[in-house]
Amino acid sequence: MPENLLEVNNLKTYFFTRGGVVKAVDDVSFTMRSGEALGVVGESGCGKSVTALSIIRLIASPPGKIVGGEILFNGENILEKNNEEMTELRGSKISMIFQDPMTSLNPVFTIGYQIAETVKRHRKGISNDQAWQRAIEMLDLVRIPDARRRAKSYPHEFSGGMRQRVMIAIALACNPQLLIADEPTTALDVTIQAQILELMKGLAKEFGTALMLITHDLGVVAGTCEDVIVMYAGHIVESAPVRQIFQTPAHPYTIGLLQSIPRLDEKRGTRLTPIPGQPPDLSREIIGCPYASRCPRVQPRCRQERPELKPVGRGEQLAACFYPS
Amino acid sequence: MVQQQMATSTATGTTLVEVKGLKVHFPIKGGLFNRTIAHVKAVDGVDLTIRRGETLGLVGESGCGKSTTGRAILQLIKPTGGSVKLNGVELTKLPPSELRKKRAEMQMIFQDPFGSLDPRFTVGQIIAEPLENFKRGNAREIREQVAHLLEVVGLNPYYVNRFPHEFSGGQRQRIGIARALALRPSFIVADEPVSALDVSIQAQVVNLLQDLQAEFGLTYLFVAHNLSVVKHISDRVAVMYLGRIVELAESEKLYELPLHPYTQALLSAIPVPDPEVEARRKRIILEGDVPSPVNPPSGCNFHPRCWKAQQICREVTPPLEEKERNHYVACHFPG
Repeated sequence: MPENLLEVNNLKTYFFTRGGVVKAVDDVSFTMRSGEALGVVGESGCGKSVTALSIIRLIASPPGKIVGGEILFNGENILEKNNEEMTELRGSKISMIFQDPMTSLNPVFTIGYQIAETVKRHRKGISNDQAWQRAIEMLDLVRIPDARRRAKSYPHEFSGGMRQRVMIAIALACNPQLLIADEPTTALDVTIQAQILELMKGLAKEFGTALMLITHDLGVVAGTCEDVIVMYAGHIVESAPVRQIFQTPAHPYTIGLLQSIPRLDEKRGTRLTPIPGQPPDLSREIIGCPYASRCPRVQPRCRQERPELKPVGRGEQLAACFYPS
Repeated sequence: MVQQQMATSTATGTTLVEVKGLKVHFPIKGGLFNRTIAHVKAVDGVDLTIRRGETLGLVGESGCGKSTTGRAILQLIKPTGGSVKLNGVELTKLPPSELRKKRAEMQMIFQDPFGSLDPRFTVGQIIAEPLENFKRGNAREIREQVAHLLEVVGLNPYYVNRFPHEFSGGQRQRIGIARALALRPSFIVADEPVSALDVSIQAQVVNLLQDLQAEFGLTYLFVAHNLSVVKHISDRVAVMYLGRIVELAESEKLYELPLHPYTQALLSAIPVPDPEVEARRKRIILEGDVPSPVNPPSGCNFHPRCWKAQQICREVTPPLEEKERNHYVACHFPG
């Protein structure tokens, strides 16, 4: 058994559009241990979703293409697998939950059928009855009240929060080793978000599933994840255990993000410190550090060379910055 | 120049907007002959006073009626019942021509920076439109005002001939703000003005709104679902649930000592970006979903999800009462 469940090395996913080549993910490397909860944060367009879609090989092609790097899952390179092997892997070993619970389910099949279908797809020789039982069991597990009856309902009869529970049920039905959740609570209200996060955290722990949580909400990461990756313009700019990200952020972008969000427990009259400017256009060649144009600590060197992800301090924390704090 | 004219009285304390018993019921058509078979009680008896120069935050989850309240105050949706007074003038009974004049005093900033600007208009045309409609000067004067407004919201006046699609979300939101400011209103309803923006851009727009308020003495009704942002910008906050206001207090106080069980649950559900704080916090996880506003529960409409619910909560609707100084709550068992 290899030490890491997932190992992403120098991943490059580009989109070949009419406007030019968009380097959505450009040279991204990280690892995940089994059972680990990893948060991937960043703003829209930073490449966090494309990273996830690359891992599960669901990049729309064309225009997208994984042009370089390797993704080792249990020591095997996912990028070398053919479509059939990938279909086998998806849903059984790696599952994914998407942001929009309204469109992720098929409206013409019952909830129970859709869960049972996943189970049957991946467990050979399981009977229809057993698969249906498993569906009810899973609905129970994600705390859908009266699961036996609700399994016969259609998606439109469920609220947003309940549909997201169903998605979790489908994703976990085959006990995957890795669950990727892409903004799973962004479309939900905050009281429902609390329910869903609690549920995901609990179930992942119970089944020993590794959780990759992609979000723009630093608060969600703080309460749910053990480790955090911060992405910016297709690169990882910082990666560290969750406490260090929040207490001793090293990259100016991470610091900027933390200063620009209002906190519930802040004192009255504190003023937000926004990050000036906007993220760079990824279809243009970026020379030097991608954050240089917005960085308060920028030096001439930052505009010429791209900083590598390097350890800062005691080594668990990595930052891609020439002048980290 | 625009600055001086815009600077209305900033004295806080006097009432600018007074809302009493506001109701908005949308009919549901159906059945034979397309009769009205039921009503969605989006807003069901809201009382609010907004003081001159303050920011009143209005929070709640989707479907609670917060946006409808904002629009009904501006008479963009005709209220089913109740009264709305702006500067002492009753808006709900004004004839259309009079109401149109009043619109110059009250403006709106919308959530979607992509959908709220006409893609075929240049930025200059978009901002000039209200000025032209209300005949605020000749062509040259309007051009000057537009250039000044762009500067005020932090955009280069050089962009005046560009189209909305050439701008990012944050910049478009600035254009929307410039348009809302054009007629020098005293009251602005901002409906989720930063929800569609990335966090680093959110802060830019929040700061801009605060600066503009200080500069022009604006009064805001800030409608949003993000409680951290609402707390940050508001002097007082009103919490809505299923068409009613359940709690209203000074923002600091509401967050320190929420009295309504719903507010308590809502506040505890918000993740704080600090793992230490998160580890210590106790979360109140509410059961179930928000009920349908077509058939709201009897009595206190929060009772099916409330852990304090008693018989009286199922039968009697609690009125919004001042339980502590300037702290209003609608609950039989507050605290």
